[in-house]
Amino acid sequence: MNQLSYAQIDQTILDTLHPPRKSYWAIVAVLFLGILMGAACWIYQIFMGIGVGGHNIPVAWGTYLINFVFWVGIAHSGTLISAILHLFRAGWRNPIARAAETMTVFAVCTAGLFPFIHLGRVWQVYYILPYPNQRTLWPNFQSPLVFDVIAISTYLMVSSLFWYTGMLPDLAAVRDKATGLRRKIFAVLSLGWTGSHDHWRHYSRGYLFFAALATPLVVSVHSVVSWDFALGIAPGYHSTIFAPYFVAGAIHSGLAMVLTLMIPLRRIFRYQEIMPVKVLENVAKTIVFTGLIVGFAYITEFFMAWYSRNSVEVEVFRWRVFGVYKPEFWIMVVCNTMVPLLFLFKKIRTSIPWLFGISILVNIGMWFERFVIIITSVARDFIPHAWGFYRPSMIEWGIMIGSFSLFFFLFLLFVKHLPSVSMTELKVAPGRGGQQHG
Amino acid sequence: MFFEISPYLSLTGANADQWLACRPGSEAAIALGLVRQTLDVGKGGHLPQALRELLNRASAQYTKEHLLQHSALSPGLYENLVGRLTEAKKPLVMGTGTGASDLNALQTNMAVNLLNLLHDPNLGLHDFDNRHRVEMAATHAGIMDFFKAMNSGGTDLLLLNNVNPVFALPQDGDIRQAFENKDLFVVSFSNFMDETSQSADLILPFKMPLETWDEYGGKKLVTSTLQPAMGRTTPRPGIGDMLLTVCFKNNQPARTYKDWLVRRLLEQQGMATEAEWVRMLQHGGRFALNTKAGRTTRILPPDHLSDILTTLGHPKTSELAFVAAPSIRFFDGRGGNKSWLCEIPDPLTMVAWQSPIVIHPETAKQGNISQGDIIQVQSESGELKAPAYLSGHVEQGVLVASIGQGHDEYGRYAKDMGSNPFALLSSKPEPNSGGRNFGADVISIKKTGLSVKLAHTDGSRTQHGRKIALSVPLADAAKAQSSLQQGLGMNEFPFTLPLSSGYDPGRDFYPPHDHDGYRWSMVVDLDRCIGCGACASACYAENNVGVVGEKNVQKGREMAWLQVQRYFDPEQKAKITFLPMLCQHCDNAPCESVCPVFAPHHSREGINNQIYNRCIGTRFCSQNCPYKVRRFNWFDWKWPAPLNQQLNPDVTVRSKGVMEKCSFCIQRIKTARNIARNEDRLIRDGDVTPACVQTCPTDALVFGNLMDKESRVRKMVEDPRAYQVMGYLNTKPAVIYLKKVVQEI
Repeated sequence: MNQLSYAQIDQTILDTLHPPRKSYWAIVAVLFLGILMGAACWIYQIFMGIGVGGHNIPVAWGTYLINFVFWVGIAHSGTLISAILHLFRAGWRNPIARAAETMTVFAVCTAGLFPFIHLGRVWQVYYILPYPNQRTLWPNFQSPLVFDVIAISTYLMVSSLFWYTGMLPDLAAVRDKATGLRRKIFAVLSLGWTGSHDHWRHYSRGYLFFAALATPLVVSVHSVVSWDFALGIAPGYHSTIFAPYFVAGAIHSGLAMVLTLMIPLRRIFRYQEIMPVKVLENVAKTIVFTGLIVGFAYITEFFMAWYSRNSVEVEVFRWRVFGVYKPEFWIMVVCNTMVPLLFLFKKIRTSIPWLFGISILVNIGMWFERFVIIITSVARDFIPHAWGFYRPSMIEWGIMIGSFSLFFFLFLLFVKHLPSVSMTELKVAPGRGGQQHG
Repeated sequence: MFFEISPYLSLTGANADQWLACRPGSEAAIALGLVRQTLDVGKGGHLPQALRELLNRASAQYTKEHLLQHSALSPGLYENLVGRLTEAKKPLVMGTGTGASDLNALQTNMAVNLLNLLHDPNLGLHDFDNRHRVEMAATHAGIMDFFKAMNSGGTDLLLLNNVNPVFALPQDGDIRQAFENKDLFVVSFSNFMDETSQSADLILPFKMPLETWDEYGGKKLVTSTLQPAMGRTTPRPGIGDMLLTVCFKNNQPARTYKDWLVRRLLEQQGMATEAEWVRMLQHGGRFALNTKAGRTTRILPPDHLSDILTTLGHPKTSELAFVAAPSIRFFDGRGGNKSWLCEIPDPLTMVAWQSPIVIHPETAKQGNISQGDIIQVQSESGELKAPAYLSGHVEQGVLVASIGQGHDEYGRYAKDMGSNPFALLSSKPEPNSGGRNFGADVISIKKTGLSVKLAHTDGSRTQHGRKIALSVPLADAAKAQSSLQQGLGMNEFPFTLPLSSGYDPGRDFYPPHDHDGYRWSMVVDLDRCIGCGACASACYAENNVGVVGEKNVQKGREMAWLQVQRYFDPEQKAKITFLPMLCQHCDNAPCESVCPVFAPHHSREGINNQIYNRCIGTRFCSQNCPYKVRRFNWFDWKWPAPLNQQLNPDVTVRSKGVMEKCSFCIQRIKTARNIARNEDRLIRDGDVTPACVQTCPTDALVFGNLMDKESRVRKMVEDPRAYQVMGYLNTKPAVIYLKKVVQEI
């Protein structure tokens, strides 16, 4: 990218905002139909009851919470890339930071829908908020679900502000090249950015502070999500390893999703020069690392179950491997811990088809990781007479497809309407000798 | 010590100390074998010479070897049984039940009675005076003759009340045809359009027993009175009034049925004034129970009966045999349209709504049949299609299905639900006794290629060695529990009462609850529990628990607040432990801490209250409940009219999206408190009786205040048998179980 001039960078990125082809709108329309279908399924569920899903006693949590954890997990890498790698001065992250951050914001939004979808009486959801009322009824601050509400809303707020702040100079750049209504809209969005020295100073300070503020959230949010399980007493949930295990898993899945999104983006928008394979290779190397952590966590869980000599714990873990959910378990193990090891070979981690294929497999594996944790633990917990079996229903699949549609719908709108790569950061990349942040 | 010998494990067998499997039809031989063993040890000297000779003659061929070969009894258990029988001080042998009209059933029962006579010349355990009313019923032969006579003409009016012959009699008996006779006018007194009413010319609905005056005597010396428990809901007349009006033109013996009833009771009971009648009513009846032993009647069996005893039909020769078993839920089928009875699973198979054919895994393997496969069983009289249920608790080659389902008519809960095993039975009465044969030889079993998911409520048949349904050998029952119980593991964790004494700063982070005079608790004596499930149905009735139907039971969504769990022992086939499982009202409840909105809430009296209005349906409480006793309203459950009238007005009906569970019948506690407050006192022990406790026929459940040192529950928790299910989770459950006492065989 060093060969690119500032003008070339602007040109490449602003070109992506030209009016799209019909095929783009066709895909957007299909995704919108997917959203409508998901919404229809949800409305049907609200009128009929949660029973339209496949849940039962003992497995009262199903795909809604699987998808919740999945999307929150996806949301992690964006902030990891934009905040933590920014603080570490890892310049290679610059070309993908914006898109990854956008992925974060949209994934949190998608994730945030699922607790609502999951509720038996969603119309009473405000009970969970600490609002003043005459009966002095408060939410139960001991409950991990209240932690969740606080953690997720904080994360959504910080990550969207961080995302928006980082975009300000670019929005101004778009404004400067635009005409008509578009110019007016971007004038409002860019909050009067002029590129003055003061603006740059405040901007770079603010960006740094946001990065510092967002960094602990990367660790805390998924730790809190993991406590939904770890603070419960069900075998397979109740484990102290859950917080680091979930954070590593979240980053693992988030990085995989970054690859899944970047590879088509890079090809369609001809970002090959802006986004060299080196960048994707670095992501792949990180995936090897997170995959090893996740694999280590799996082994630790089994070791602890064996070491505890607690028959309930032992049975849950034995059953995960040999019981009716063994396909799900093996999908999880193979996709999350074995397949990423292929990235150890340079040929594979620099080959675009391999990168793309493996990223999809890791995404699938991580979805099944949540399935295995959430379903198999309670399906076979303390009282054998109460053991049960769960399969998602058609309504649940519908809502799940709706959620994926929503995520890709938002992302598609983003790439054609906002600069999907940060021009600012590309220009200040290390080695360019430009202005340094901070 | 209680042994049961039968081809399949019944609920009685499940409660026996030992169940011995035998081939169907071999019961009489076994009884005669026992007679022989008893004679061999020299008993029976008191009997007349002729009778002794008869017994000797009848039992001569049933040597141990012969029996073991023909009945498939386990040799060790048979030895044990003979030893116990001959050594017992006061043994009692009982004959067969529904199978009393099975092949050789007459011989079985004769041999059994003679066996009793051998052991006890006075028959001290028999009461010949206070006979049961069932003994007055007509024999099967009589009933079949009646229909035969009807078929051949001459009858022009038939009144039917409280029977459903079209369903309950074997289908090869041409019962339906009898009803189609054009000259016959059939009147059915019925509130339901059952199979018989369907073929009747006139259907007269009448008042239900809860709306009427009446009397009932189950036994000769017992007369119970019935009085209306509810107002009139429809203009239907009482059946008694109807008959009084119709059968008498001008000379009615009484103005109303009630007048007639009172007069008759006064006469019958020798009561002088109506005041005595009122007293009788207040007591619920007259119970002149005679507990003295009946007179001994020494009768030599008549000659033709002696001949019967010496000529047994041979045990079934065909490889496969079918038995239609009585059902604890449906009786002869009249319970089939009761939603609660369908919803509460069979105590042994744990299957609700369906009537599967229980088959031994080995037998199933031969036909390549697996659990849930719909099989077609063929007998001489007909065929039956039902799903297979594989269980080691039937003898190999025996197929068992329970009676009561498979209606073509009758109502929304009965129609097309399950299958009717009467289809396989023959209408031919047994020649000797005139009884009905509830067994049939099976010609073939075929797979239909279809299969169904059984609506069973058990996730596992065994308890995987966990501390759930425990038992203790008789010898150790009174011994104090090991004082070594100080660890944190499943079996070493100490007994922690849900009182402040159950808290230990070394284990507990939070301080004990501050209970306000009461700490409600329940003690469940597993030794008394027979697994019948009456508690569960009482709970459905009291607490407006929703009926979810077959499909939702298949998905694991039954709403029972109280469930009788059944655990088999993987090592001892015949050892079965029942465990009523309900909300444990833990002092340290895992459900309470995880709810974001405080919907589960620990009351000042120790009850884990579920606040329906507050619940938003996160279902976290259920995920975190180790006992899995919480039930979620997946839909709005329906009580189609007139079932809405069965709702208890003291209890809310829950809507979709909220969690619910056992409340210890808090509405009854509130009633007791109101009464106590009016009388300016505390609630006394025994004032509060939850529905399950009230209904338990064996008094296995006891409810009370644990903080009251004199209460029954407090005294019972001192029992060395007391333990808490999965107590090592430190939940401090308020439902305390007493271990089942088992006999070492």
